[in-house]
This record gives sequence, C-alpha cells and structure tokens, in this order.
Amino acid sequence: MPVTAISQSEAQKRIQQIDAFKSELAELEQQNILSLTPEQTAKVETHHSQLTTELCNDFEIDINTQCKQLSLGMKIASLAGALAMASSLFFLFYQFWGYLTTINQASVLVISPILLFILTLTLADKEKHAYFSKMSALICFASFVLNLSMLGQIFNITPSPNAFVTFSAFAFLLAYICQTRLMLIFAISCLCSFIAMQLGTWSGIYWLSFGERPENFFIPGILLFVIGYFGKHKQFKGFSSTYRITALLIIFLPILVLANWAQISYLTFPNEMIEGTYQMLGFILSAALIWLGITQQKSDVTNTANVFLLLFIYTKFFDWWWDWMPKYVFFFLVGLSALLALMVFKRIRNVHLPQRTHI
Amino acid sequence: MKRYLTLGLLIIILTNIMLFVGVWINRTGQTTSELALTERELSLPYLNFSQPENSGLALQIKWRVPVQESDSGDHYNYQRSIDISKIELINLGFKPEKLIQKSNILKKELYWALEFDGDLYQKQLSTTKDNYQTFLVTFTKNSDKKQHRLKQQLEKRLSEETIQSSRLFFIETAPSSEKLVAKYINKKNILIVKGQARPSYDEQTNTFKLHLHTLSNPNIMLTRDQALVLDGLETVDNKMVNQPRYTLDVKWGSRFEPWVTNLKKLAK
Repeated sequence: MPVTAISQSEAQKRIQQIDAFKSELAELEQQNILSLTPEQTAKVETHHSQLTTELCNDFEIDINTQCKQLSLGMKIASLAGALAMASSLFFLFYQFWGYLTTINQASVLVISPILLFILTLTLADKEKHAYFSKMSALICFASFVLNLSMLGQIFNITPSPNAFVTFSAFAFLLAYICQTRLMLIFAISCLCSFIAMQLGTWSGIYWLSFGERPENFFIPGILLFVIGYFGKHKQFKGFSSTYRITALLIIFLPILVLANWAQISYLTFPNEMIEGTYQMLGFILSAALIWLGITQQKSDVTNTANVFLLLFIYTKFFDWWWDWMPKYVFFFLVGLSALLALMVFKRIRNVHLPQRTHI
Repeated sequence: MKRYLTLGLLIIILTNIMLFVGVWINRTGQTTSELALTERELSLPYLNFSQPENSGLALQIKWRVPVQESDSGDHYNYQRSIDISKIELINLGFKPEKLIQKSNILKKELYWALEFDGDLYQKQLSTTKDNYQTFLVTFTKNSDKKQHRLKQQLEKRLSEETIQSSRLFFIETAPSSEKLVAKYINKKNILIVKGQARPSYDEQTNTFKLHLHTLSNPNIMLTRDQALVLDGLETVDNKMVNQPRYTLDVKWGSRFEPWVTNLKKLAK
C-alpha cells in the first residue's frame, strides 16, 4: 500500500509491525532457527528505514516507547487545556456581556464560533497529530453552545430541544474533521438526548423531563450500536468502538435503572413484573453481547457487556441478601461469585484457544 | 477541507438565522399581552454567589396562585397548586387513572393565563384586610405577647399585600394557546405564557390537584441601557416592606416570549 494512501492509525500500526518483526527476528536468530544473509538483512533494514522515514514525514508517529509515553502526556495536556479554555470562554463572556449593547453581544456570539471553526480547520489541515486542532475544536464547540444559549437568554426565547440537534450536527462535523473521540462522545450525547427529548415530547411530557422516562433512550442506543457495528470508520481510529461503547451504555444504564425502579417506566404492569422483566432483559442482553463480542472479536462489546452483567448480578445479590445477611458472609459470597465468573471466563477462553492456535 | 468549511458555516449561520427569524416573528407578530409592571411583579435576582461573575441582568417574574377552597385556614397559596377535577385533568392531556394507580405522572408544558391587578388580586387584598379587621375585634391592649406578635404579623402581611406583593395571579391553564387567546384577547390585563404543571392525587379526599411549577420563561433579560437605569439598586430585604422602585412596560409576542420596551425608576 502506498504511504500516501494510509491513515494515521494504519501508519502507527505499520511501525509497530516493523518493531515486532525486528524483535521476533532477533529472537529466531538467537535460537538458530532462522538467519538472514547479510544482503537480505541490509535490504530489509534499508526498506524499513526508508519506510519509517517516509511515515515519519507524513504522520506524527510514536517510533519508540518514550515517544508513546510523551504522546499520552500530550493527549492528557491537550484535553485538560481544551476543557479549561472552553470553561474560560464561558466565564469570560458572562463576566463582560452586561457591558455590551445587544447588537455587540449578538455579533460577538455569532462571529466567535465562525472564527474558531476556521482556526480549527486550518490547524487540522496543517498539523500532523492534531493536538492543537483538537483543543481548538472543543473551544469552537463551546463557543457554538454559548452562541445559542446566550442568544436564547438575551432574547428571552423559550428553551426547546431543537438546539441539541444543531449541537450534535456541529460536534459530529468537528469530530470527523479532527478525528477526536471526545467530540464524537459530545455529538452522540447531544443526538441521543435530542431523540429522547423528542420521544418524550411526543408522549406528552415536558421535554426537560426526558431523563425521567429511561425507555426513551433505547431507540437512539440501538441506532448507535448499528452504526458502530456496521459502519465503516477505517480512517477514524477508535470511532467504531466509541459508537459501540456509548451505545451499550445508553442501552444498559436505562435497563439497570428500570430493573430497580419500575415506577418511571412507560409500562403499566405491576412494578414487580416490570422490574423482573428488565432484570431478565439485562442478564440475557449482556450474556448475548458477551457472546457476540467474543465471536466477532469486538473486545469493547465484550468488556462493556461484562461490566453490566456483573452489575446486574451484584444489584440482585444486594436485593436478596444485604438486609438480612451478615456483611462478612455477603462479601464472601460476592467474592465467591467473582471466582465462579473467573472460572467460566477461563473455560470460554480455553475453548477459543485451540481454534486460534490451529488457525 | 472546503466541504467541511461549507458544512460548518452552514450549520452556524443557518441556526443563527433561524433563531433571529424566531425573535423577529415573536416581536413583529400579534402582541399577546402588554403590561405595565413594577418591581412587585419583576424583581431583581436574589443574591447568589455567581453574581459578581455575571454582568448581565435578568428580572424574575413573580406570580401567584389564588387561595383554593381546599386550603382551609391558609391565607396564602405557598404551594402554588390548584384544585382540579378529573375531567379538567383529562382535557389538559393527563391520565387521572394512572395517578390513582400511583403511577409517576410527569410535568407537561401548558399555556397559562395570568391576571394582572384584577379581581383575584382585589379579592386577596380584601381577604387580608378582613383577616386583620377580624383580629382587631378581639385584640385589646391587655392581650398577651403572642397576640401582639400576631398583630404585627398581620399588619406586615396587609402592608405587603398593599404595596409589595405581586399582583399577577394565575387564572386558568389550557393545553393550547388558541382557546386562551380567543377568550382573553379583549382583556388588557391578561398575560398568556407557557408554564409547567404536574398533577397529584389525594387518596383520602379522592381529589386532584395541579401543581404549577414554573414558567417556561421565568426571567426577562434587560438590555445594557435598561440595566444601567437600575444600576446601584440592591435586592430588597424581605424582612422589610418595600415600595416598588421601578416600573416597566413589557410585551409578550406571538410566541409568548417577553421583552421590555420601557423601564423607569420611580421617585422615592
């Protein structure tokens, strides 16, 4: 594959492959299993060195462990910086908006997201690793949220859920421009909130009460999971798994709430029946998703479903035993159940191990 | 990148255009209410810790609910709830049978009609006066400390009702605005706004109540010039009875969103 046709994540993967090849070759040579002739070694080294140089020119790649650690530090600094700058923007406007005329307030609010968006695009175009463009994207998003919410306050506009659909569209755009998962999470949250608010409004409740009917989140959760499962995000590192994990959180959290608090359900059956149904649904769905994750090699699905399966089990244990059982027995049983879970997972792992070895 | 630039600019600009068109429609369409209010109905915000960080000024709309038949003994409806029949609840889009089954019924956004300085306020004022007069009949100089304290309280209540308390009273609610607009179009002292309400059911008396939570637009933002008029005014001390210090002309447009057209400080 030509270097120009690959993405940042693929380039990083290629470097990791070269590293793995070198260390495995050294191991094989040490054990006298395989040794390349000096010409072959020179040829491979030249090829790898050329490839690494080309990739390093085109992408910002971590070529060793130190670089990787530094990259992680830079990511954390950029996230903290972006959040702080976005907050600063909010407080800055609040501090001084009272001294501006309405026209000036509106102009500042409309122009600032436009300028920040242009800055974000410029940075995303020029930067290899997009640390600064990611920061700029988050500040730009904050300025757009500020734009709509403050204009709403200035002109005494009745709050409505429609703002969330535009927040979501803008956050999706920024997420795909800068390849930032944080913006993708914001976009998904806004979209899911909008759908849940709209469903709540259609069912006759005030839109801000959308969280009090957790079933409103099932439809957006399922939609997102389908996007994450079947969508092609090869160019965008980690986007598919972000879609899947957030989708599963959006589906499982309402089930967990409804399994313990049926009063807020749309269903009109007796509370015990509703809670029992959601408990069953939680167990079945998490078990099914663990299986799906294992068979389709989607570790994010397996891990998320695993966490929720344990949560469903432990909330049930708490329901059954906490009140009447001595606490040391309760925690002992919780520990035993964890051991049992370990044994089950080990067994499943062993079933899959020979197949992989065979392949 | 050009495609992204176009898309992003479209999102920002179109959203803002829609917002400004909404404001324009509200302000140039039919004015649904136009009232000359005072500090009694539009108060300065209560002191809060974020105030020094926020230079904008929004006034809070103060509204009240008349005392209901079921509020026996109370002379002020602090709960802001009204007695309501099962049929009225159904007409508002609620399901009373779910309330009886103890289901969790959530808030709805409804249209409210509020009356400014009308019969409801006069009734409340005369009730407060009557209470005071009735008390005075039995009160003598030799009455005990408790009676003296009660007298002071009733005097303060009457004074508050006369010069400080809001004269904006809730009249009725409807699921849509048309009915209220048609009913009150010729009445100059009626305000139609959006607000949120949630019903409740009392098992013992087999009656329903509608709790009026909040207006959807509970504050009115002032422009810089209007805020400058109020510069230097502090939030009133609730322990004292205070005369209103300013008066405002407020309009509510076709989308029931308010704006202040005129603001004047009142002479002391």
